[in-house]
Amino acid sequence: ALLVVSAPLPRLRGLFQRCWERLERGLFPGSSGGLSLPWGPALAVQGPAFLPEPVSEAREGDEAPSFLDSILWMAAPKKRRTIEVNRCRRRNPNKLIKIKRNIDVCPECGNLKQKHVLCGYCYKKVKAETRLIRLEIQKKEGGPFNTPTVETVVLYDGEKPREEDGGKRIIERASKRPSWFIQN
Amino acid sequence: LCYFPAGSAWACGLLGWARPERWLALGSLFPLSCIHTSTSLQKLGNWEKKNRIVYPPQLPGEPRRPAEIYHCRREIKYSKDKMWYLAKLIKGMSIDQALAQLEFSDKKGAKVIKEVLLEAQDMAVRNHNVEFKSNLHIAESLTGRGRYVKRIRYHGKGMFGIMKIVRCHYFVKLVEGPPPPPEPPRTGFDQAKEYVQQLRSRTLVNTL
Repeated sequence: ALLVVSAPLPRLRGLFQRCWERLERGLFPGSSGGLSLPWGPALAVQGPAFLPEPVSEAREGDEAPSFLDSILWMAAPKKRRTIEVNRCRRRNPNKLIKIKRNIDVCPECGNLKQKHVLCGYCYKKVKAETRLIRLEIQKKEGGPFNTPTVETVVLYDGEKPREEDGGKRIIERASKRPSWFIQN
Repeated sequence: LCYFPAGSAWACGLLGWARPERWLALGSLFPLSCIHTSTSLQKLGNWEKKNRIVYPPQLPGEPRRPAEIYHCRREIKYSKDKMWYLAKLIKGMSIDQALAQLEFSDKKGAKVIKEVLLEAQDMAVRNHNVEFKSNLHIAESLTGRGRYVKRIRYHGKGMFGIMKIVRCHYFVKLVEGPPPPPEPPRTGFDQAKEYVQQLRSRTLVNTL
């Protein structure tokens, strides 16, 4: 309801008018017509921090200047690297291959081996024997998924299974037992 | 006392132009067949010819000349710059140490150089009168540029580049005997001594 104050002093009247305008703006924001905060149930949408209008003008010119500018700022060699400079870089001791000090002799076969790696010759030997044993297993099983749920024992020429090998699967290999394959 | 420094090569050079088998064919019943019957397919390079030099017999008082064996492999499919690192690694080593280092190197050229060294060692024992195959050391090991071939490398958007298919040669010289001790590194004192020596050996020019 409008309050009517009868003829106050002019200063008081001006102050009162300004207070009333502020109240109006707070209560009826859309009535004044200017830019104001949105009223009513508004979705909280994340929009651009800046207003969209001024950006669209600069957008067409955005790609072309940055492309040209980046060419100007790209790193490029100023002078040809001379062969002397190239040699200094290529023959620097940190680029040369370092001598390996971890090479030893394998006590089994006498070939060279690295200290922390298995001997290549002995490994190949074992691999070949394992392949033959696997072929025998394949012949016995006949197909995939036929592995029995018991242990396997490999027997060579002239060997008999022992008492503790009773329930185990026996694979026969038709050759002499290699010296490195110990029978427990 | 004159002698033929390279006896067989000298004789070959002198009478190389005269080929008696060609003259005999003129009057004979059997025509000269133009089939190339010799075994040499490529032209022998300089390094291979170094094995052919024959020294005169040594006098009783002279120190024994160590045997030198030159061997090489041509047109290896590898880069000469990359191969150079391996050649630099084994320079001055004994042959056993070099073979050990090459066996455990991960580079492609290491396998090739190992084969070359084993071939050279075998040649030394069979043809060059070397007694112990371990008593050899590598005096020189070099790489050279082989024949390059240019090919097109296709890029996107219709662009292309020209790439070089790179090949190299590898040369090695084995000498009988233990490897020479490595040179001590040049100290500042040595450099100063050399500088002072240089200053002392200056002479006055254009004077009495």
